[in-house]
Amino acid sequence: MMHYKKKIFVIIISVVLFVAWLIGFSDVNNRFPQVKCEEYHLDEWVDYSNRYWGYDDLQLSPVKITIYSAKDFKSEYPEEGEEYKDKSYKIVVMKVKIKNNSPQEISVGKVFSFFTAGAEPIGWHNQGQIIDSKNSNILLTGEQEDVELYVVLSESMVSSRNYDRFLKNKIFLSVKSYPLRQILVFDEIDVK
Amino acid sequence: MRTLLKIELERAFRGIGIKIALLIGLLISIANLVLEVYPKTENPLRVFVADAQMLPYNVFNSWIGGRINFEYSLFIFIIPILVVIPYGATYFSDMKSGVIKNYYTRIEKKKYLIAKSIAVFLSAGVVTVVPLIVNLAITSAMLPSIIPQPTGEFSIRANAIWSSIFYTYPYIYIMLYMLVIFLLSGCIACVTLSLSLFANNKFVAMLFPFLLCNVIRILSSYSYYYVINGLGWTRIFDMTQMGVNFFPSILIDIILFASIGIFLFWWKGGRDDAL
Repeated sequence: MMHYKKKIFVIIISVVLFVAWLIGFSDVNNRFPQVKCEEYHLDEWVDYSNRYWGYDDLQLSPVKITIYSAKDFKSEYPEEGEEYKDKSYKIVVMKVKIKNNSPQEISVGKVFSFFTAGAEPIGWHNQGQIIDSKNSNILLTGEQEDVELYVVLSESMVSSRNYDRFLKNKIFLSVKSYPLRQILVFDEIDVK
Repeated sequence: MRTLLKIELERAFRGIGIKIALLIGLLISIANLVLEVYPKTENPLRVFVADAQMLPYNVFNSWIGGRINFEYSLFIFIIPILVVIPYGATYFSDMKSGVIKNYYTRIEKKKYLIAKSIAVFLSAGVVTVVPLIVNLAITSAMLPSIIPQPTGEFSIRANAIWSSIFYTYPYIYIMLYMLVIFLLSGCIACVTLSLSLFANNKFVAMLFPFLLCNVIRILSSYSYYYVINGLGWTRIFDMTQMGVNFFPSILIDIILFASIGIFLFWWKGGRDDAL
């Protein structure tokens, strides 16, 4: 009898705990829903604004990715490549179109400082740097420019064992993360 | 065999050892909830910057296995001690008290050794995984389960084991990793069984797995070969993978501890005369 009562007690406590967990779980996930993801491919433009810098009415569109060895990167971009000439890194160069529709001039460097390059689902991510030698940093009202940024792909980030797998991933530049996720997806990958 | 296993499991799961070990694990787990998780639940957007590549505080960067902090480091560090508390030293006690004679006169020696290993293995796995499950369950009721994005907020990198699963189905990643923790904890605890055959002090047998884990951790850290370098238990049990983990390292650790803890115990225990 005592054993039976103990069993009933355990079942009741378990049910109460489960219901409490379920209420908490659904409540918090309703208040903070899953991310909605918008992907922008070649020739598709994403409207972009940045409250931190006070930039509005910008548009961005992905063009292509070129993956260089450090040596090839140095010969293509001597200024930026100098730092990596003796490294075994690969360098990912992302080309993005940016259009300034706002009434003010904008700093391209400031805009891109908020973006992160990534690859899914493998989980590679790194901050990129604008290739200054090929871009003018200031974009005037109504101007459009092709911006190139380079992102380092070191062995500790993606080892040579995982490199082929990496190339099969969705490689992107993340523009916004939450609650609406906007990513520029590069369909064209040129491996030098 | 079934009756024997039932007896051994009852001894393991109804004993004071498992209660103490679970209490220690749960205290660490609850300390993490109070110190790390609860302050974030008041406003998960406290440090969120909309234009930066950030997510609100969520389960996967806040629960005990989502971020390396004092509680998680402490939990990982004491695992080799924690796992032997429930049932690790009972073979030693059975031999010293003479209980083993009652078993050996009634059943086959091999069956007793297998049942003992299973009980030690399972009790060890439970004491490491239950505190993690409790922490995860409570955190998931207080913080959103937003699927992680590879934007620098999570330490799991492209080279890390199961990174693709983490960035797609994070709960499955956690379950898989808990399985690894369960298996390895069980194997580590079984080392005490083998040591019981050689040691003449219960505490020597109980502390040997911790010593062995430390020797492996220190020696492996000198290796430049990534598989060997990743053999340390503090690294393998870390599911945030601050130091990237590799499947071969996990496999080697499991085989190594299972060989010492389970197969050596069956072999030597089967040959030794206990009566």
